[in-house]
Amino acid sequence: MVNEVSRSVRNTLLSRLGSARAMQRVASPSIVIGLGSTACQITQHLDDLTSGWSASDRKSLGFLYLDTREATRDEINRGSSFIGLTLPHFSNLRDMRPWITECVPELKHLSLSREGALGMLANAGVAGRYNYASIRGHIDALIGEVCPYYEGKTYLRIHLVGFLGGGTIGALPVLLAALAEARGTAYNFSLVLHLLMPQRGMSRDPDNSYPLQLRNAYSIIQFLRAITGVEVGQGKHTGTDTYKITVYPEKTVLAIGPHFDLAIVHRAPKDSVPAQKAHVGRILENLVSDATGTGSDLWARYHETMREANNKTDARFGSICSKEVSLLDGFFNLTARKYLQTHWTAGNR
Amino acid sequence: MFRKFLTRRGISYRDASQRLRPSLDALAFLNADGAGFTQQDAIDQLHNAVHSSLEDVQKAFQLVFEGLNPEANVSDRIILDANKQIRTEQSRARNLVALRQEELNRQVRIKLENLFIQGLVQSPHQEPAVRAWENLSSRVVHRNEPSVSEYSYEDLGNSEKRGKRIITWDTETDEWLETLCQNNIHEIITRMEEMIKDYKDTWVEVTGELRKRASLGGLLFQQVNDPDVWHFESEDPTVTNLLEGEKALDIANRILDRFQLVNQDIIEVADTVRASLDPVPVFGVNRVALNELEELLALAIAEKLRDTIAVEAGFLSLISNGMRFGEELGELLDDMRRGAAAMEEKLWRIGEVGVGHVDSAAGVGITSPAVHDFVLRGLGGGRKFAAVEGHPGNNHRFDVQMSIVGAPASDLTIFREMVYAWYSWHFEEERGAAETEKEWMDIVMADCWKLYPDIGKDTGVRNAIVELIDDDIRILTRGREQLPTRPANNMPADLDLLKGLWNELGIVQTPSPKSNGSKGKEPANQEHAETPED
Repeated sequence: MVNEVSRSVRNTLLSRLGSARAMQRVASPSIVIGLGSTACQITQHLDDLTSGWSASDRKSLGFLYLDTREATRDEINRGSSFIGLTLPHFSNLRDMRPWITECVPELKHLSLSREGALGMLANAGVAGRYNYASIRGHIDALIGEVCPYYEGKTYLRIHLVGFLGGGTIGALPVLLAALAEARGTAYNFSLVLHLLMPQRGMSRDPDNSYPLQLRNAYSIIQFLRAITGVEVGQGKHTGTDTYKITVYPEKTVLAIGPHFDLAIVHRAPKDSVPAQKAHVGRILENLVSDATGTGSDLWARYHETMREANNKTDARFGSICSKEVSLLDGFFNLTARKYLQTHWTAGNR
Repeated sequence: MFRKFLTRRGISYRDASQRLRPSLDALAFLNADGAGFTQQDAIDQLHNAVHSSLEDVQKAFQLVFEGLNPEANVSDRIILDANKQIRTEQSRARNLVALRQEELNRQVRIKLENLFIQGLVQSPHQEPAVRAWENLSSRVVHRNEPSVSEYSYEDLGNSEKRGKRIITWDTETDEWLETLCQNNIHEIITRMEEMIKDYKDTWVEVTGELRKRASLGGLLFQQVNDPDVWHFESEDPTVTNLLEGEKALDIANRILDRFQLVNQDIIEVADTVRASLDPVPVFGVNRVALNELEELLALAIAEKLRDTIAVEAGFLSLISNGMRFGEELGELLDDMRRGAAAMEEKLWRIGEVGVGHVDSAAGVGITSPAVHDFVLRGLGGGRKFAAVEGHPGNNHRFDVQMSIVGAPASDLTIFREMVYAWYSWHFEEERGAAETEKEWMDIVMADCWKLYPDIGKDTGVRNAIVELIDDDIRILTRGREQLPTRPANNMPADLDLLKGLWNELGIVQTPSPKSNGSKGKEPANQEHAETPED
């Protein structure tokens, strides 16, 4: 009987080869947070891409997954930090608590499904508030892990990935509040938001779910504008970058800005999930690799540009588009097979 | 007398200690360059490996015998303890050699597997070198363990007798120790021979199959010589392959013409592949599938190919083919720039306010200064261009990136779509079917929590979001593109209904709404229309 080696063997080999080609890629430690199923898939993709990096680079990277879908827990790497944004059975919760009514008039309006937020921002909003302590705990632990204080590292970058059209993005205000609290500790970090735009071609039901995605995207973009402190209209509710949320059991968190440094809007170059995963994953990989290549270049340029920016924009939105020409791994693999073929032919005796 | 005769002809641990030479690698004869070793060398290396594990036991035996010095007085208790210590040390010796045996068996397996893979890469047409070690067991005899005496006070109480008996005891333990050692060597060699048998059987099967795959008409032959297979695509459509088809095949041949795996490379490739497969064996019954082994070998060798190209030639000089190469590179970069710009424009239309651009191009392995000019030309005017510089670990790609930072959300190409979707929600389904303003208001008030991440009156961000949306809608209604409106239904205009809703929610204070139909509150609408700067 002959055994088939699994994908994990292939990954182990690539990881061994990667370790052998040690090269520093990460200058500033980074944490990548995936919020929602789409974002978790992209974060997982990056997690896999970086598995072959040197041990010191890997040590400087942390990954955190948050999703309203329980199934995501099984889809990510074992051992990765996952927070299920779920609620206990409603009968175990007291209704009409501030942390609930802040999102939804009554608990019964929400879904008990563990299969996602079903496009409802409030589902994730309530679940995020319920799991706030866990979110804070994981963030603190990860920061301490990638940024060992005893090594004198106190600055890091946090990349937060989220699909604007989904329901789980409704937990973004909670997550940003948790990060705002974490920022008040001995560590300082830049926060880069990676916002995935809804695309009609990628929607399962373009006539019904796409408008819902657009509504969610609009609402969250306005939320991000609001928390930059922009003042518009009568300025009764805008003009401050601080907001309050109530979290389980009844704690008020004051989220003090500035909340993010740059919000990068991503659009997949093709209406397909693998293309989205590969493309956004690649841009993330470049930004995380800030010690080399376009990553270091881009960060230097970013800081320079931000200094020069003098326009009237109220939120720091941006996009990164790239095009790459390469030989791709396949070329070298096939060349290596050609090498083996010439060695294995009978004529080469 | 008979006993003395046997002892003289027996084997001795002490003699072996004098004869054996220590070696750094206990299994050096199983290395790829181990052809110079004789069978006796191989046995001696194994012997030495097991022998060294028993040094402490031998010292412990000596200490026991020294404690029974014929010139000193010994008690019954001391003799009992001595017996006990000898038995304890014998037991320890058995454990130690068992552990060493286990470790050596594992090492032998690793060495043989590495040798197998190295052989496949280096000399697949030769008989495997391990044949030299397939009959070693005939040179090491398995013996019955000699008995080691147990003495009483009567035997050793007398100092004269004791002297002679301790010498005998010492000889017995010495012989016992060496027998234990050699029996273990025999077991290790027997196990090794089983592995070698598996090795040889698999070698015949695998190399035969590989020859078939690699020869004319074989699967591998077809795969690597068919230009149609030399097309590589990324899942990311913005990543383009630089070489494909005949050109790729031609470049691959050029690379292979100058490529040579040195011994150290082959050792590393074999060890990486073997370690990645662990615990799946490379040879034997439950071994790895041939195509999988081929794939892993290709991956490991591909990594070596990459390094070689970077060091020896540089990426561009390798692929530069013909006089037009420089121009082609310029065109390529220009195409890349246009591709990136097109994607960028799908996200943002060109805003009226200035936005900061961050452009970068990274090309690696580039040595020609002329490439700088090509890149600058390729990126076009008005774009900042960062650098074309070498990046040691990422040497086979060009990357053109463009970024906008500090751009307004309203410049997003789907901005209007988003506003329309959000706005339309209020007038769809049963909300749109409402017949009175109150009915509409009640339905929307009950459901509008679905639109926001929170609905707190004093906390959260809903109110700020609504204030921003109100501002967006004012700007849009001032523009040429109007928001969609429903036919008149004797209700206030949609926009006014919305303002009424916000008024009701206490977020935005607005004047009373007007009607969708002809009857209505014109002044309120006029006020709104006349104060576009609000």
